[in-house]
Amino acid sequence: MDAAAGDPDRISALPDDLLHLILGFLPETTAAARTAVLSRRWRHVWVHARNLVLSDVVPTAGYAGRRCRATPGYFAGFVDRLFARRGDAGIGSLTIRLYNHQCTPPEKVAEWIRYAVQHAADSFLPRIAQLSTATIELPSHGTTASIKLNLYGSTLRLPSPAAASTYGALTELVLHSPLLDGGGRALGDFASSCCPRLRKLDIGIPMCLPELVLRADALEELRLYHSEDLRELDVTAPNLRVLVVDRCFFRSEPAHDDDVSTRRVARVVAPRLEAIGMRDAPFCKHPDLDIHGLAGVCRLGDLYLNMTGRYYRDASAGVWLLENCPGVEHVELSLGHRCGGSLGFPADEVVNLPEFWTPGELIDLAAEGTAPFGSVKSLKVDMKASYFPQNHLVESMSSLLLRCPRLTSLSISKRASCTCQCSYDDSGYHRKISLGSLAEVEISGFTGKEEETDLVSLLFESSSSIKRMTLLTRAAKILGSQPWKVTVPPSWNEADHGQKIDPLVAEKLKGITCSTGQGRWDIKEEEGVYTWTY
Amino acid sequence: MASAGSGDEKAAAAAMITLISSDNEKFEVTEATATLSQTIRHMIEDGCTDGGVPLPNVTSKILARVIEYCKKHATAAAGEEGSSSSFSDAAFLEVDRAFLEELEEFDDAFLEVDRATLFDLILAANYLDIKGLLNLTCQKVADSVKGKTPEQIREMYNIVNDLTPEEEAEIRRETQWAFE
Repeated sequence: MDAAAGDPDRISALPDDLLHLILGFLPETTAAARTAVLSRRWRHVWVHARNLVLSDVVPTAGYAGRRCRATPGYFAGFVDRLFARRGDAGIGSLTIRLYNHQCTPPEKVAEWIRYAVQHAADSFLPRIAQLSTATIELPSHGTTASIKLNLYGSTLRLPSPAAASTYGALTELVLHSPLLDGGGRALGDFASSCCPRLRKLDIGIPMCLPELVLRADALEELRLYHSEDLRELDVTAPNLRVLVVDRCFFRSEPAHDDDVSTRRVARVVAPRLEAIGMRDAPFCKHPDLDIHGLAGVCRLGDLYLNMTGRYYRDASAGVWLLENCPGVEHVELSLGHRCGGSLGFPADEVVNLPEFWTPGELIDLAAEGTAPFGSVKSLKVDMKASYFPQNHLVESMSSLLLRCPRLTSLSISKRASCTCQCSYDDSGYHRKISLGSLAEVEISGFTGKEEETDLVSLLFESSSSIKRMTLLTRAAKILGSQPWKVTVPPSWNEADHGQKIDPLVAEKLKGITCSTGQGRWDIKEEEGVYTWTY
Repeated sequence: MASAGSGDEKAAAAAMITLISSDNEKFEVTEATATLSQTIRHMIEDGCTDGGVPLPNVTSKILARVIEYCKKHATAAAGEEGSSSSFSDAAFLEVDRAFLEELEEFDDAFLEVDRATLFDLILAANYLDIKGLLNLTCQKVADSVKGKTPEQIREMYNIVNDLTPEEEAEIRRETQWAFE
């Protein structure tokens, strides 16, 4: 849509504040800076671009030239002059990305960070992509609403409450891979005492965070992931709604629950909690969970259940949460299988694996007298099937479904099957399942295996309320995730994403239907979509 | 943004507002649609919308497009308000992805306009203070400039370079890093 000759120059006629907005949408501030040479009108406009993205990668080198070394001093000089020209004018958001830290002396970085937290209104994201020996230090006062720091293992020193530090406007703090100077205490003290409006705290891959104690009145969302050396989490947050603890509390030594020195505990007091996501650290028993406020939790996500047939290992926080959240309605979980076989041990050694590899007792999920899980209405199951042996599918699923009698919507996503050869005797013992409200079922990753058609049969036997059942093969999934314009070469499709499904499967499916005998299958073999509707 | 908060506002959402374009065409819209514009929202709050809201800076052609945008996005705002939790950004919480996709498709199609209309929409969005539309249209202009040399930008927008070669050289020196 190039302008025709003689069209008026509409863009130069826009008022300054609109040009500041437009220039702020450019991916890098250097692109805005290059507009300075368009004409006199443009010479100074770019300086006040609403958002700034400053990166020390040579701007015109493009993606291929990422590693291209910059002329020393050019980048720092550019940033310094820009900040000087802006003076005290506020910035919408400021992003600083440092890939070649040797280009910029640490005291410069400290100066920019000070400028950023005192001038940027919305967000501030210095991203440091190279390990620096220098310590990144936040100044004692900031007016920014959001701080996101991606530190790549650099040391972060947070302001201390003792110095009367305040970040009165800060609502969001995101720290990625920080090495915390002063450990968890410094972080806990900062968040609890200096940030009265902090609503969201997100800490990923921290180093030196053995304990985190938070007393945060405004906090609504707390996310911790890969906090591996964490031993004690102690949170009191009257407004907390969302709590995510993902692969934290790693334990590298064998378990001794009575040994205080290896004890790990999550203590949370949060009466308004609505959603919890909790994934266990691999090969670890979950920490002691002491959570007050589970009554209002309606969503659980990121749960992992380590299954062997209908038995689960009680090392996982998953079943604990399901059993202790009486109001839970929506659940997303992964069913997996982790035993010696799936870890690559020879079959005859499988039985005697140390408890360290497979912690926890095997417990029957479908034992007599077990209560339903809250009032689960929707259930999404991701079968991390690279860990899941074939012969467990129906029994693992049926024991789970037994505990979800109020289910209305079920979605199962099954991936490639497992190499684990561990034997499991299906005892043939099944408790009858009744899913009186189940209406929608979707199974993706359908390959037509007998256990899968058995699962379909089981669902129809257990429920006469199903309105729609959709089976998607991997071919369907691949096509579904891409724009329709893209055609997948059939050979590639077949080789990598499952063979064509045996036509006999379609015949077999036609025989499986609702107990009332109504409803019918619509089978589109070419597209890999099998739909049953009532 | 403009999602109604209190019960009173909800009750008033069904009320109609008349918008009058610069060429005197009248558009009848719901209050929920009109209040996506902060400018109109303030007029409603001040009780000065009886007899219609004159918009002397907006032609009927542009106003019709703006209303089309507001109608679509007003339903989106209502949807957000209806959801029980304010944590829809949390990764594992339900988000109506289909609706968001539909909205994105709508926005893409909405931006398929000639350049003169795009600038008229920017000015209208600015005057009416419709943040979403202003960001959308300004982003579109920024995208058109992205990856272009100054010469290409001048050509694209008919910008006359009134800098002397000396001035241009001086600016390049001032912002050396950007031309590195």
